[in-house]
Amino acid sequence: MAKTGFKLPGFTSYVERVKNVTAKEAAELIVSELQDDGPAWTGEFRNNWVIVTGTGKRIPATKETSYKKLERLNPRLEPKETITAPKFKGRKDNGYTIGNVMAYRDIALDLDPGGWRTAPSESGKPKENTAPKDWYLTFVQGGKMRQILEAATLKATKDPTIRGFKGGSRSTRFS
Amino acid sequence: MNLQDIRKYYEYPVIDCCNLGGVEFRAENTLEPGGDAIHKFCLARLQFGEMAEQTVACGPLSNKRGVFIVEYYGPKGIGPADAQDFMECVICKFHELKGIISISGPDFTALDNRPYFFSRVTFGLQIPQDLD
Repeated sequence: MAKTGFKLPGFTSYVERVKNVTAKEAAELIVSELQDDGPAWTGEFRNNWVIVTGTGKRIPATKETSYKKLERLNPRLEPKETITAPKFKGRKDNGYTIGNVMAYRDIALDLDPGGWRTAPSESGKPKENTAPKDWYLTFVQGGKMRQILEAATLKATKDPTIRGFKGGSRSTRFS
Repeated sequence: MNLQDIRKYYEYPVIDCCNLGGVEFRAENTLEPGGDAIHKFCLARLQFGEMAEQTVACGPLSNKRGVFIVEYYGPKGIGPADAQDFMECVICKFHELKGIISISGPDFTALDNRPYFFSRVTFGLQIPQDLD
């Protein structure tokens, strides 16, 4: 059967590159915003977000806190670390999965039933929360994620490696 | 359409399901979700997220985004059917509402540290101006 359509040298790679850069930008922006919006009491939870390649990957919550009970009462806030997304290693490798590895992540994400993080303690004393209740659900479903994806797409279009596609050989394809 | 009207719009269908299923409805900031382990109850709350326009506090609010959270607490030891029926009712009611852009859940789990069977569904919202 005869082939139809045009063949544009390098175009598939170009599209792949755009897709990968967008995904990387998006993943890093999302994590940065999660760090800003989420709780940061010791800063340990904030610095334990991870980005792994592949979609729907399981990220186990196995890391126990390194702070002792007394240290947690009056901690020095760890500075925010920049979390970077790994590069894709092949064409089959696409998409990212974002998660937090702390064992107590469900509490920090307000996904534990009863809202332990924000509920008043038994003594009635309110907790010193560093993020509002339901911050994570609001982040994911309340429009912020969508805005970040839009911002990432815009940012990726300004990436020098994907601007000015020229086709041709690999060495001269991007300018 | 003010914030209370929006809450009412999304809360009433949940209250309908509570009435149908004999589940006590507990509005946010009224009662602690503690109490007797043989009772079943529902908590529902609305949180606002990103706003598209600079009209957060007053004026004609449009394109407000948020999340509506419905949580069911039921007694342990009677199987998940009751929770499933309740959540099915809520989701079916929400299919008829405007402004639902995503549904996450329902999740079902037996709680380890509290005597309840728990379920949660969350709805992502983009609230239209003509919400009536």
